[in-house]
Amino acid sequence: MSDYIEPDTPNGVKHHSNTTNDEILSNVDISNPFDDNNANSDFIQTDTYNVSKNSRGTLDETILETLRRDFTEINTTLKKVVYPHFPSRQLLSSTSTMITNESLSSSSNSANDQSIADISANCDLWAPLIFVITYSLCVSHAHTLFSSLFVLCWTLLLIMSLHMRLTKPYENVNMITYISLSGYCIFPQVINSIITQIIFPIILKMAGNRHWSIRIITLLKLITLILCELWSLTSISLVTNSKGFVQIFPLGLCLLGLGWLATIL
Amino acid sequence: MSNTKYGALNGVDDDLDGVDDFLDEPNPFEDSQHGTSVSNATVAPDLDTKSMATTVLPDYSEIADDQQEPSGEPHGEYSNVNNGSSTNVNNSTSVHGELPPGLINYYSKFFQLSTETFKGRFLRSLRINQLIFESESYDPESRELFGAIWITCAIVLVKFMFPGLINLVHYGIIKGERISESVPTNDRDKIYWNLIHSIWLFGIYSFVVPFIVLQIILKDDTNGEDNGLPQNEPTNDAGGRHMTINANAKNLIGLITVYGYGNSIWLFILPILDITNSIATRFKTAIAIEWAIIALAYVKTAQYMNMQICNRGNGHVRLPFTMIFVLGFHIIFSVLLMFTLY
Repeated sequence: MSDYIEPDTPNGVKHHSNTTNDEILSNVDISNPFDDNNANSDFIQTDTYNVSKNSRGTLDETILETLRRDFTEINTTLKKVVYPHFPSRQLLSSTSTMITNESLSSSSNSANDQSIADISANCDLWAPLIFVITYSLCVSHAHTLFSSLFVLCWTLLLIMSLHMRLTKPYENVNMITYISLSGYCIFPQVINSIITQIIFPIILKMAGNRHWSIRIITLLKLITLILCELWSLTSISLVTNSKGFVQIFPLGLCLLGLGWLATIL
Repeated sequence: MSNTKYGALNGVDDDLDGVDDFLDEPNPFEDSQHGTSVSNATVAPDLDTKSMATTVLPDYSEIADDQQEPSGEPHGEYSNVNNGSSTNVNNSTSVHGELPPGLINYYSKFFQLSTETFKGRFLRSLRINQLIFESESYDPESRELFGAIWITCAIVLVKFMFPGLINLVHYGIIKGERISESVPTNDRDKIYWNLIHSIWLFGIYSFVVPFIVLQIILKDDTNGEDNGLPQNEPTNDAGGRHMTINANAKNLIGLITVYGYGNSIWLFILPILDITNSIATRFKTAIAIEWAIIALAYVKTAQYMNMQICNRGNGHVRLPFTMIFVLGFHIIFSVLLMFTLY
């Protein structure tokens, strides 16, 4: 028995010295499955997720590498859930159309279902945890209010998930997935808290606390609140396929509560 | 897995104990009851082929109609409901096809209403002499918790936001002063105390008071409900008196719906009270105005309660014993609201 510890990833098959296996592997494409250039391969297309999950928790990589991979995964999900839904003029018009016309076309419905299923497959609670901690730290300035905000954030995520489960009992999505999706969609609120609690005070200090600068900063706070609220609301309603006032209004209330706390605290 | 490359990799024996040694064994965790879902399943193609797994989705074609036209009924065909707990739901479904109250999906029937229905009830609750329910007769589908819960939450949020918004506009934008320096700490703390007070006050009034009122209604209703079901039409009892309680108000959910929509007036009253309260420090008459506004809101809500709870089937209206308690609770609520929030 050699001292070699086999890695969990399929890359490890390269190290086998077994002749029989080598023969088998000679017919197998063992190119790097993480390489995006190989996206045409059926094997990689269908099993990238499995490979990615299998590669988690390996002991033979640095902490930095693990963190980098986790952040990359979070960023990948954000690219699908949050980034594209910034309240641009075009998107707002399409969203308002969606709200007024409760029934979408069948094609967009199926696309949404697939999108939800895709994101559901990769749902995690790490990103929501990071966002909630960042939000609570920014708003509380790391003081005693942190714990209250932390609990409040998770309570609101739970309420939003419960609301979506209750209003859409036929959706093939479970509670944890809804919590994860809601957690991703508070990312704009985290940005709002960073801007209003860290960046604006710094700018105000640099401007010398003059009356006009306070007026402008206050106005900018309100504008940031509205933009981030719309961003969060658009993201969560599109990614969870929530349609109509009845489904969207409670989500808006919860997100508005979070945004308002960041604005006035 | 039909992929040959994947199969070839599975065939590699690493001479170590592991999962690969049991690939030919049947999966003991495979859910045999999942057959119904699998039979209807379609494999969803990946949208983003870089990182997503192939996901099996149930075919919703058979339940599409139900989804588009949600009803308030418990949905005996709930066997199709939700993925994660579908097995539990199936096992827990009673003989009559109704879910037990311990499951989340049991309560989903109280949240199935269309936007038009909600808007219609909300607007009717603001008008005078209009029923929020579509008819006075007993209709289980008309009962819901959505309005009661989210109108109450909206009121709490409005009460929390509006004083802060007034400060932000008054000091931040008009005066150009920092709120932390201009507004006393006590006033800022009061906003958070008011949040707590509004939560328990509206929570109790919307969800606990209906339960108490229901007990009184059941005792007051002289005709009773021998079979446990509400009666549809007003009838005369032996003494010649009329059934005076609306059938929809004779159950807890219906009564919570009545109380929930009855709160909608406060969505407009509380911001007005906040404005008058902000000028009350300079004008003492503002306090009198506040009490006058509260009194008007009380009259409007009392009229609404009378309209929703009392039945006017034969045109003969007798103020039932229940209404004394309903109006009494409402007086207590209004006074508490004034003392705790202002």
